[in-house]
Amino acid sequence: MVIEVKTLFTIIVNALVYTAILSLIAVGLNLILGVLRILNLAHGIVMALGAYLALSLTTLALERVGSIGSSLLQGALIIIVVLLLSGLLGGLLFAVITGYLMVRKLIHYEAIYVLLITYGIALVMEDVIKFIWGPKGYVIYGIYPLFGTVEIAGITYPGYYFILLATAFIVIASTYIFIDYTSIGKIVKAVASDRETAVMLGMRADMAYFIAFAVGCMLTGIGGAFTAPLLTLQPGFSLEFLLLAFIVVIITGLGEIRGIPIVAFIISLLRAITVTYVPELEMAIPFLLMMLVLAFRPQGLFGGR
Amino acid sequence: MLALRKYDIYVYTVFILLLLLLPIVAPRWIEFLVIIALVYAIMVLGLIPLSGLGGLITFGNGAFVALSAYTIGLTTRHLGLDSLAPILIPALVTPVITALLISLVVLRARYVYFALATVAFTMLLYTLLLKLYFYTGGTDGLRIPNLFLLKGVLDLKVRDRVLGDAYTSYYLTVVVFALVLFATQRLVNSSFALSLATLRDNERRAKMIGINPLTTYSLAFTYSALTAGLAGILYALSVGHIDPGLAYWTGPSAKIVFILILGGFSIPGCILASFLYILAETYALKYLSYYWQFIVGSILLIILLTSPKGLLGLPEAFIKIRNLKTYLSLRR
Amino acid sequence: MRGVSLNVDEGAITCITGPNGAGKTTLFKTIMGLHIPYHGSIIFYDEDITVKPPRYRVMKGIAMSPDYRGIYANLTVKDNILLPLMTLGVPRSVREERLAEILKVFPELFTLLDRNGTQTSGGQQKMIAIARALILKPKLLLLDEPFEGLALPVQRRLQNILMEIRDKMRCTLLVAEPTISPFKGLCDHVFKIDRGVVYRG
Repeated sequence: MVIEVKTLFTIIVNALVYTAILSLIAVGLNLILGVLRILNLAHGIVMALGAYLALSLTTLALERVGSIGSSLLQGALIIIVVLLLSGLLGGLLFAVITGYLMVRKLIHYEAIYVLLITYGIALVMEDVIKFIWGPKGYVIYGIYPLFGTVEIAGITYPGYYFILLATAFIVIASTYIFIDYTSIGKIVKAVASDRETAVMLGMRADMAYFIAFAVGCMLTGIGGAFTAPLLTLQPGFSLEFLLLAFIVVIITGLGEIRGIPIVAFIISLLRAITVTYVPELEMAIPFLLMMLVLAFRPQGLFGGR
Repeated sequence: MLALRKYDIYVYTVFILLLLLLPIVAPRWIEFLVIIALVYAIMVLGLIPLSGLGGLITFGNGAFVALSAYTIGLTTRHLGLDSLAPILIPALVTPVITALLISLVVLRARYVYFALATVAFTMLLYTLLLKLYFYTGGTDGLRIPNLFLLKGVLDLKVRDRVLGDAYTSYYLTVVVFALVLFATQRLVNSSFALSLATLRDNERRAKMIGINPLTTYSLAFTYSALTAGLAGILYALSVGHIDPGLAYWTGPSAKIVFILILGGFSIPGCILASFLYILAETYALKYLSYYWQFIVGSILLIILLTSPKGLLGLPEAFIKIRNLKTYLSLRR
Repeated sequence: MRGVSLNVDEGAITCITGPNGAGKTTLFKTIMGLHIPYHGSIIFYDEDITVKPPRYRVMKGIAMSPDYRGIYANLTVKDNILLPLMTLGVPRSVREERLAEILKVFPELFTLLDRNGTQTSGGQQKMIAIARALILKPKLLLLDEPFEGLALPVQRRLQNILMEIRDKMRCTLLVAEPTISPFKGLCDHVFKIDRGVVYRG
């Protein structure tokens, strides 16, 4: 079987795009897992919120842009900003509505209890979204044209792909900087690592938890928002991403944010290859990888405390 | 340890007898409800050792239900099987072996991590069942025909109407339920249960006394897979139709966790809760079919959020559980 | 803890001694706010802080160095020391100033600043914990077993440092140690605690 250069590049580009989204979701998930030690079963909802909000807001924006007749560049910039905002808003909304409740409970009760709360929230929110936006599928038109096309090895790709890549990169890099180099980030790390000592030193654990939770949700919201133009939005679309994000998190290691883009890329690449040649096994490979990692290095590839 | 209280045996025996006699007085739709409730109760009872005593909540048991159900489905569809008896053992062995195999891997994780892994596993099965539609029928699912119990020996079919106009499978279900009830009662009052509770309390200390976490949890996990497999078989026989949704993480997998909590992790509580839940779901589906998730989720949230002491406070919040104190003392 | 009645003199070094498990750490944790007592009250400069959260007490000027050191592995030594200042929102310039002051007291920490929290020995971690408590310029300093794990000359230096802190910073010190005899010269007052009851020693 000869692999054409064209196919190779298509696989790589697709993998990269998928990596960008997966990284955003997985970093958000792992941040919440690492700091609050809860599995947010409603994480798919956060992504969906970001995506559906992006749907509504971009539709609004596109109408506005169309009627004013602004230039292509202006339109493109506006859309990028709108997408970012949708994601941030979606994440923040979710974090504020549910997070404060959960954080309070978390400090006093077992993690499993909070996990079940997230499950209840997931059930409720899924129907709320269905109620607001309806069960049918949506496709957002009008975004791709704003970003032009890029040609690599004879195949044209939407320019949007690269905007997505750039945005994801900037957002994730900012998160790293936030965690490692700002005072707040260090406080969050301290609370996550040893809460009692942190409290003894005067830190507010609930605030630290909430910040981590909010940031995690916002990242996921952005991931969802930027995914919206790529596919048909319908209830349950976030499942696949959520599942793979789970797997990425397990393979990278609980709470280890650093290695996520790398693992995400490996998974995305494997997935892209599998989808091209053996579509039925799409989900099997990442899962097998996860099993392997759990079997030989349960703390994750990058974990190890 | 606790002896099997005589009181309990009497109550349960009476309950089983009532179930057996039910079809004489009850209309068909009640029988059907009872079958489903019992199927769920079987699954939840199987979950008590692992999740109740051992503290490992799993969202993946739907996978085992699907495994046994699809074993039957695939053999009837592709191999032309028409009797239950020959396929019974394979249908049970499949989930059990799978559980043993993956427990080696999945049980290296704990709690949140573990829940994650179980979700991933069951969703993997789901997507496999979905995508390999040539074999499995995809979203359409598979039809389970009316199988003979054992062709040539017992020419009775599972969905034939027998005593009191109930399915044969109804009686099968009651019998299996009784067996699982008995087995779970024994398990829960054994030293195995103590090991599990100790593990949940403080794993390091447990290891020091010589309790092996892997084998203990693995056994509990396999037990839950066994009951789920039994449930899968009964479900397939009675309902006559299976689909990949059985393995979906918000399908039976999650419902049994919900029922487990509702029932306060105790045997009588869970049985009652199964019935309550199935009743509620049937009506919610009938009248509010579209948003039943919202209802269930809200109820769950209300229960969880108003419980005074988190999870431990739940049983005190409403159902009177006979064995509650024992569980509480085992736990702390 | 059963019958604790303790009056601590301002500006003095008070030592609390007693066997392990007697309740020294519990006492300290209660003063710090990590435990809330069932009965009784804690009065700090005429204010009842019995139920106030630890953060409040930190802001009022109480700081503690725990017996288990509690140094963060995922932060540098410098960050570990500066943590309390960060939580109180102290601006960077002031933080650097205070760090310089602390380094005068513990010059051996200078070379360790960029290391990771756990790339240090037990004794060094002890000093980091004390430096961290000091950086707030607290009015009340709680030291739970500060001398444990330190080499003898270092212990002697620490004694002198503590006395300097008392004199120069007008700080009240509460020191808990299982045996107080090596440090007799340090203490202005001594209390004994045994099975939860405190009495003069």
